[in-house]
Amino acid sequence: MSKASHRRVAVTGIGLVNPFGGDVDDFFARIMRGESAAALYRHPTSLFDLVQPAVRCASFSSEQSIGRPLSSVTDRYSQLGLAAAFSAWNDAGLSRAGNSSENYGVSWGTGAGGALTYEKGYTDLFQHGKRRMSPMSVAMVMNNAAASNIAIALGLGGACLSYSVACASSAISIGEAYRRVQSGDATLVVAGGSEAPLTLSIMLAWDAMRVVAECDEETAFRACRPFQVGRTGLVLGEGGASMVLEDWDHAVARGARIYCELVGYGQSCDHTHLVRPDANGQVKAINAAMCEAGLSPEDIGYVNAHGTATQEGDSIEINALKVAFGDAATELHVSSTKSMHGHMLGAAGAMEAVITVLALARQEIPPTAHLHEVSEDCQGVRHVMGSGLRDVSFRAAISNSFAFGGSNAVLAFRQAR
Amino acid sequence: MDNNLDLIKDYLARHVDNQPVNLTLESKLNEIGIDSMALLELMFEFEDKYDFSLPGNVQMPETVDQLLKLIEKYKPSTINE
Repeated sequence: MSKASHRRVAVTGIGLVNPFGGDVDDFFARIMRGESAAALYRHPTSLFDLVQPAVRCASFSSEQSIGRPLSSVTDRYSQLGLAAAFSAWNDAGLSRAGNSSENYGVSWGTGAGGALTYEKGYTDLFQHGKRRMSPMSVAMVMNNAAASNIAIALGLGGACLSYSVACASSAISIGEAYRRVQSGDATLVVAGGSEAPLTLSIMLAWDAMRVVAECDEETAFRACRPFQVGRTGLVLGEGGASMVLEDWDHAVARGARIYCELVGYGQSCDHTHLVRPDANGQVKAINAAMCEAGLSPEDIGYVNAHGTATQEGDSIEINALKVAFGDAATELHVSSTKSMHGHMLGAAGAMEAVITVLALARQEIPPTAHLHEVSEDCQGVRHVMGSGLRDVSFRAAISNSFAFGGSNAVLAFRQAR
Repeated sequence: MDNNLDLIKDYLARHVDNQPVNLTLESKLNEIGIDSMALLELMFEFEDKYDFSLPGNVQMPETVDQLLKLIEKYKPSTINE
């Protein structure tokens, strides 16, 4: 399809299940203040004492958010996703009663899918001596459970697709949804991602890679310090984030509020190493998103970085930004909000895309929390610290998501006009 | 038998938003919120309760009465409720 025939894509709704427990306004206000949701988490059923810094959506009630029937047949990752999607749907001013649309779709990302259900099954089998699994197990663990339940609940008959690309899963789910709306295959897509990774095995697996931040009870809230001297790694987080992507003309015709326009989606694969990121691949994805968007480096007022606070990852990302933005890099505002909401793995891209949309729509840039002294290998851009930036004016922003496996995804948003 | 009816009511209380106003033996399972997957899960709960296994080729019940009779037929006879 030629670019001339591409449809414009509006962001008309956003929804979150976030660790602070409040609404989108509350969430954004907190991250603008640099408030962290991280705390020490003791795994509740481990046979040995397993304590890690983590971000939980502790006040989330699935029964309250999505109702008892759905709650009883879904894994927590689906519950977080359903609640976020419902919230985005409502925010977009769409009706749930009797709605059914054959060219509205779902595009969802998750890394681990129904990991908690797997873990419960294995616990029953190996610890409690059971000899069988619940008949609901398959429908609960499958990686497209969240997407399918969203489509059923909202009555969406268009393509219902799930993407599992590690930490870029939901940036890619948003990017692919953008492609479907852009090409005219869908009028509207509920896109996003969800993750519930606080299982014994996932917590131990990340710990074994030596990338989980070191801390004690007092310092857990500031354990994740992207770009900081002496940073020690990431904090796992759970959550869900969603946005409604809609054909621009359709959105205008129905009088929808438009947060901003999604104008670019860049993808690449490092094709070098499974877990060591590569700046060349990241540059390629950044350039592709900016090129499609028709944006110059000077147009980008904010980069929501992948910024996991690992030693290598942060340094490589900053290098990629310096190459992609050239001389403009020194004026580029960059922050990693993972310092506050943790690394939500398959939901991270969607959570950070929503934050990027809010930053652009409100003209406010959230900080990298707990960043006081930028590491020498992360210098060369304008790191946003403290309580963020409020009196700024910018017309476009990008969100970076870089996955293990080498898959990179960059989303570019422009102010609505 | 009454205990088994209680188990069905308990299952409905845990899984269904709108409880049936009048649950009778003639109530159709799919009309009171027990679809095919939920029925498997409910049969699973009966199997756990009485520590037995229903044969794989049983005719799937469609009413509360059929379900209760199915459980009575296959549960261990030594079970005293």
